[in-house]
Amino acid sequence: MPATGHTERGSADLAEIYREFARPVYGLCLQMLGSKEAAQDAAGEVFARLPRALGSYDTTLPMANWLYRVASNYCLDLLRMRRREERYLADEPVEALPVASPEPSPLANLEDAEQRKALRSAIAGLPDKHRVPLVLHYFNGLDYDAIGREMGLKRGHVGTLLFRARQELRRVLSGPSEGVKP
Amino acid sequence: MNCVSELTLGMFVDGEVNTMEAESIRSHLAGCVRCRTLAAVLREENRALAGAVWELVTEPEQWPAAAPQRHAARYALAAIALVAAALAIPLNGLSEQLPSAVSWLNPFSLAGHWNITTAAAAYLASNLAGLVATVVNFIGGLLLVLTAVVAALLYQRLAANRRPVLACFALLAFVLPASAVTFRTGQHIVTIPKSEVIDQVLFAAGEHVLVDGTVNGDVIAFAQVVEIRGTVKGDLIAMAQTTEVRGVVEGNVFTVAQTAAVPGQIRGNLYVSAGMVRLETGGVIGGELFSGSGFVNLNGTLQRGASIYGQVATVAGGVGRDVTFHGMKLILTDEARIGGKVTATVPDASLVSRASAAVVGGGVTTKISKRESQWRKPRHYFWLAVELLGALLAALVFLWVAPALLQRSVTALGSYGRSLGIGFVALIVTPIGVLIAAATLVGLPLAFIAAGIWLCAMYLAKIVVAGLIGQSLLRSNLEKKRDWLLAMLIGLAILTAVFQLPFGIGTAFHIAVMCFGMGALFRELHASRRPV
Repeated sequence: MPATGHTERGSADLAEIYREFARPVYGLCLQMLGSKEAAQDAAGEVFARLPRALGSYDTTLPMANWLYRVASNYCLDLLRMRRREERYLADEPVEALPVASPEPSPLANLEDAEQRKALRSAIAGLPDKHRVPLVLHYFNGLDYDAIGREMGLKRGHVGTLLFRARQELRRVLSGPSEGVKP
Repeated sequence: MNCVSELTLGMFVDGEVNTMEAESIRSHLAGCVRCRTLAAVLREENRALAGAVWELVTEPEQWPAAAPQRHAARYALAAIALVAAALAIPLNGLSEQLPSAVSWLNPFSLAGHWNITTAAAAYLASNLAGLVATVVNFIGGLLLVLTAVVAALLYQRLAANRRPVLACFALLAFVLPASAVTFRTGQHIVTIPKSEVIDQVLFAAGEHVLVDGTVNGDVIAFAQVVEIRGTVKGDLIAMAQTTEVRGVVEGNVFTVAQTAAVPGQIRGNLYVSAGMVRLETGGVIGGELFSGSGFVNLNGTLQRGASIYGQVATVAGGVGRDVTFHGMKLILTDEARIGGKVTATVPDASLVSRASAAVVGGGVTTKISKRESQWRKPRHYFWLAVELLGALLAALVFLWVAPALLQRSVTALGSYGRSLGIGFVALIVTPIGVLIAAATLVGLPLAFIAAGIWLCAMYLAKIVVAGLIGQSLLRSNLEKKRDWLLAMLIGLAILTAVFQLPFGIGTAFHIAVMCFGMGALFRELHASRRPV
């Protein structure tokens, strides 16, 4: 049996994994799903499925990357189920986008903890369709193709979503004076 | 080349453009300060975003503080289980060696059970009377109003199908007569004076409930002392430290008490669970006596038979028919006049003492209650098989009726701390809720429904846990119903065997399994009502 190595260490490993990753897995689910309750349930579910999922774990990869991927995949499943009717993952028309001006970006100059906190809460406040690809890209390190595959989108659309997310964050962070929504 | 759009530049920075495009953007950047600056800004933004997302995920602000508590709860549970096991194992083993004088302290003996039950009941009766009264008054009214409001709202909303609502109304109408109840509650003594006649059901709670007058309906009483001096035409239901019938109860008496005394008359049967039961000289019970009590003294007249489970029973009066006794010691004094036969099941023949002048019409039969290992009896295996088969059938029905719920409950079991917590609460809180709802009478149907669900859940809990055990042994995803059944069979067989473990271990497992399974079930029932 190929997975014997894991199963023997099984329960001890699982406890170890839980201790180490319960918090970030919950955090990931929170960012993916946007609600505390759903995140708690999802994180619980991820760990509940772990014993079986471990069978497909490739030991050459870091555990963290694999586990985060399992968690984000599970959340994507949930999102798909949740939003089947709303079709939020469907393509939306890509407009001609303006050429940006190289002004100093409010995202790039985070000098103090206060500003970083503001960015974090701005991200947390993004709508799902912007926050989810952002998390997949910046946390799970997925490229556009992979995100597209996971979310059922074309890669161009992924680029657009990330671009819009970034614009929205700039708008929020640059304060209410410039906060005129296009 | 013209300046590139921010979108394209963003993709370039992310390494998401093809080599040709990348080459042309690179050459453009070499000559365009504006785009070069923008690219630098985008890279900077990427770093900031990656940092922020990382912090958001790894240090979630709303990380439930329950995490450390969960550990604490787990340790606490483990500690409780350990202490219980530590107590259970020697005590259970010792229970046959304990001197009978202290066996009432042993929580595994019958006497111990009664002692604990009656002490708990007396405690509840003396301390909770006031509270129960308030709660009953409040909840009773509230339930009535709530039911009416909900029914009215539903009636408005369900224009299409009003039948269920009409059924609810019918139920309400069915319940309403029950609200023909007279409530008498008080901090200290609650008296129905000699001159008073109550035509309805009397619900009384206080420190001391004294019925000196006449109640034409039933009497339901919670108190430290419940004393009937007058006449109760219906039944008496009493939970008290002391229940005393000095007057007349024309119906049956149901009581849980520390001491139950009958110097007066009960025309019906007496059903009693008490530390001490006394049918005093001059006292009469017209019907039968069913007693699960520590000590029973029959000095008065019992017109029919007696079924007594308990520690010691003394018959020093008249019994019209048979006496069946299971316990430690049966004494028939010189004054005993028993019309039927006496069947005593005691640990030793010397524990039935019959005075020479005692009259027993049908003779005395003594059975020795030697504990023979149940494993030697084929009957035991038969019933085990029946139990297993029944559970399997229930699993089949469960699988057929609510496959998704069963499967998800099995998976939800994995997060065991939570399931255990929820299950434990459900196991304890539901009966309390049912009792309170039932005490209001108006909430009686609700209580029945809740009790039904609770009993079903207790049974299904085993099935859910069996599913998990079978699933983890088979190491498969159990796609087909056949796989599920096989998993169930394996799981149930293991559980049935484990529940048979001696020294209270099996029982402890049974309770744990009920907690786990019930918790998972309720969690999933709750979750299935959420849109996620």
